[in-house]
Amino acid sequence: MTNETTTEETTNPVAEETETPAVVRESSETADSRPKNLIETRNMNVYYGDFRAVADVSLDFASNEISALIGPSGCGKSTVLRSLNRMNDLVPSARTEGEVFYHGENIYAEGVDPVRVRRTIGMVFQKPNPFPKSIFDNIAWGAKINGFKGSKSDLQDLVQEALEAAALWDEVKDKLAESGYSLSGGQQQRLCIARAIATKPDVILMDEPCSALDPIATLRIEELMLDLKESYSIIIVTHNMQQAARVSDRTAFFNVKLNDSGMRTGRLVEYSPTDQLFTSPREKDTEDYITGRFG
Amino acid sequence: MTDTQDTNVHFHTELEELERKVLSMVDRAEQMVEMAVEAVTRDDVGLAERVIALDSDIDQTYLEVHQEWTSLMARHQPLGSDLRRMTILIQLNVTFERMGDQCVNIAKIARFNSGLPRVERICEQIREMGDLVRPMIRTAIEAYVRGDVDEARLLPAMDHPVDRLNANMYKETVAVGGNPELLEWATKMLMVSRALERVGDQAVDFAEQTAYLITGERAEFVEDGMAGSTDDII
Amino acid sequence: MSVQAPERPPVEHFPTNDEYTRHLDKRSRRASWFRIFCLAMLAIAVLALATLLYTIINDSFGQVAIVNQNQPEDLLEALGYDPETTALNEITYDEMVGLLESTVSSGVGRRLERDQRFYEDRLVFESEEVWAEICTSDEPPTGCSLGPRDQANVYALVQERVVQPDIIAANELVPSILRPEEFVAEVEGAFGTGRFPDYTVDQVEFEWRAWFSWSFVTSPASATPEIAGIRTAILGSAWLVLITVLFAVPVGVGAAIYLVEYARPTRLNSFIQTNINNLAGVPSIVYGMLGLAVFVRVLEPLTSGDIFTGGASPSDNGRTILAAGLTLGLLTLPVVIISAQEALKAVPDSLRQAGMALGATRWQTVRSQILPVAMPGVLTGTILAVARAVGETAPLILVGAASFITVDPSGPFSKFTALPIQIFQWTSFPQEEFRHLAAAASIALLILLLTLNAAAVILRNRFSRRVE
Repeated sequence: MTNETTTEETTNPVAEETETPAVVRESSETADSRPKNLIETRNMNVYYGDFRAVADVSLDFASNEISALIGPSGCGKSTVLRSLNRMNDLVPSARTEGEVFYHGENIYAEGVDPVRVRRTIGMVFQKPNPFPKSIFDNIAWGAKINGFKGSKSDLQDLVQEALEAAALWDEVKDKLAESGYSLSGGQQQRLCIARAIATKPDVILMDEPCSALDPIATLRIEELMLDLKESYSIIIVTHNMQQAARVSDRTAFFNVKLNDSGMRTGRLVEYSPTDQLFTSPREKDTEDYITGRFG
Repeated sequence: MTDTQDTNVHFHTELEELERKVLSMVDRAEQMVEMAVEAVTRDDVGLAERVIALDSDIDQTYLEVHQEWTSLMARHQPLGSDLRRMTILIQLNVTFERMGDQCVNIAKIARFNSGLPRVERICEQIREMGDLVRPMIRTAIEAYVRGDVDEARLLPAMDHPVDRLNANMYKETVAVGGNPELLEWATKMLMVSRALERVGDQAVDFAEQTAYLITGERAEFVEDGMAGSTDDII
Repeated sequence: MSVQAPERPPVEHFPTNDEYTRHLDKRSRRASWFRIFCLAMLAIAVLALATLLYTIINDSFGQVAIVNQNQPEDLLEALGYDPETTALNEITYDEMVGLLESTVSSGVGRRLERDQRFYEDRLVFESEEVWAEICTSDEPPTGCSLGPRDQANVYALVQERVVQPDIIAANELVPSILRPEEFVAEVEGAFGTGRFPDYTVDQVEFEWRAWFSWSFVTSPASATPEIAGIRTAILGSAWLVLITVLFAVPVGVGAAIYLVEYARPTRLNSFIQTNINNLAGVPSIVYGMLGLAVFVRVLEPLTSGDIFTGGASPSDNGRTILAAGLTLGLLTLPVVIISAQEALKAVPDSLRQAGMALGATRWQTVRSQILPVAMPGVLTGTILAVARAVGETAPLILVGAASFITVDPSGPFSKFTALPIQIFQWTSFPQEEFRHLAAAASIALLILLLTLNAAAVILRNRFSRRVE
């Protein structure tokens, strides 16, 4: 048991602003017992123009787990999430350096079509954004544009399946033709989740999925996440520590530091199993953040 | 150190208040050990009564701490070292309340044994145990307050002489002889010894909790192959 | 006057209680004055608009003093009709042709027939041999290829050549309602001073005339103001709108889609964007010059239709509807692009993100999610741009709107006129009647514009609650 590192921290001043490498690996599990790598980032840096939003991120995510990214605002957690399915490409000034491996293949390699990446790595956003179409069409559209080949009744089955998996079917089965906007906020978000899983992706990325919802709707979606874990892998960004503690298996803590030139760049501080991170974190920065002490 | 700004001030203030309350219990318990040992070895019933009265203060504090602890948990959902500290405090709450109860047991024996013939040797040994246990409590408090793991790790060693004295007490009791009154007195003093040995163990427990708080890892203090408390004699 | 606030303890640096009340009263008074001032400005604007409307309407209706060469009632009776129950435009086609035959000279008749025949199967004024001869010559008259005239067309001829109405004086609406006798007295008196040397006072009839009427809208243009109408002009404007829309909408919306959805923020793209914005403000006459130089002259084979018809088109030069329509299209193009861009930008970005995140290509997202939401805004912008184009006069003059046309445009290669041109032309004639015609045509133009704008507003309101 490594007691030495933590006693060191209580007596030595924390190393200030030398670029400590942040390759964080589990010390408590051997390589063999780890689940197969799903997504792995290696020394990933994301820039918006000249501004380095996030530096040197090396993380690996496992299948059929929920991983949470937490940290103060500006720490780059959303940026990291969005680079996992190349949604940052939609921002003209964004630039990603480093590698992001999906099942061993670098999705930022030359010639990789981001459209293909997003087919298997889907996304749910902070503010529910259903299409201005009927509930049925909201879900069917994703299937159609990806070349759905089944018959009309196959499509209906697909939509029903997706809505059931999102725990929304019973509430909307009699009004599939109504607009997606006729639903409440929590229902709309579940609709967006159903829409994302209808195309059977591998991974679902969720960017603060509950921050626009009331507490009950939030809990329902957290329940849903835990159910979905069986068939999908989920990576969520949240600013709510208790939520990360409730749903995730592993949590990554990011922090933002002001460097010499006045830029606020985010960095990965710690990536650990959730219960460990929230009871006995290894890094002082993490401890400070989760107990409400900021540097 | 880095200058950190506490944005969770209200909780941390309340946590410190709770901690102070819990530590006040152990302060009082230390007092009570001294008084109880005095009462039982010098046949001072008045002192014994005072010990019993002091315990009701501890019991009162115990209830208050419990209430306050639950409220803090519900309202603040603490994490990290705050969470560990909360975990320890509720356990220490119980531990110190038990210390008080042990002292009450000793005081009640003092009352019961009053007027009975005594063996000075046994009284000396009991006094010695008291003199060993009180510094243990002190050291454990110091270790907690100063956050000093090394100091906490001293406790098991300090406990050994207490355990030995306790083990020895059986022989002394048997050696008292056939006088029924004396035997009764000695048997009761055996229970006093046991009570003091328990207090010692509780002090070691206190130190273990402190180590968990600081290092984040649970470990029973192991030394020289002797694990946990040596309660196997009785 | 103001409600007394409850007494409060004094706050440092702020007026309290009485002092505060006085300050508040002063502020309220100033606020009222400002409000009245703005209201007065509004009143001025409303007054100006009301004056405009009043002037136009005033000139479009009123009394007229009219002299008919041949009274319609006499003609009807001669044909055996009862003038009380039948109007002149209700007699048969043959009877109308008969009237013409008996009234106009053969020379005029032949000319009319060469412009356009009366019957498919027989000739009225011309002989068969001469007709065959002229139709096979190098430059056959239009009557050889055009279909026969219709009832309205011949009725107009009857009016013009047989009835020959002549309005000798006209009165405005308000005086006609308030003091009609004055007008009658004035006209009758004018005969004494020899103002109307061609007629005698008992030939004059006084009747109520609506210059803006259904027959005005459906009659073709004519040299005779009494029977002139705006049908030719309306059809011309309609053709222009069609060509403008067919050109500007696909090009404009397509360009807008590229600029909003695909273009990266490079310097070239901002340069293009700036220029489009500037072009929207270029005076229309500049577009007219461009149209003249490019569409009329350089692209003459295209715009005159020679390419398609091998020389047998209705126009012998490039001054056609096609050229004018393309010019107007260019004029409205920047406006269409800008309003389409605004409509597209108004679509929340979250929809794009949602679409792309499902693994859709950019085009799939735009076509299925963005365009449908933006379409009402695009249509509104287009309608407003077209409404502006409908009223353009200067570029059309340059591109060669004909000053006088009686034949309805038959296609994109025809000569043409348009409503604003017609108005412009009529106001330049000295005779009083043309002033009234211009006013009536203005009413038509205003109605058209109001309809277009109303359509745009309705569209906007109906779809504005779609996306939150």
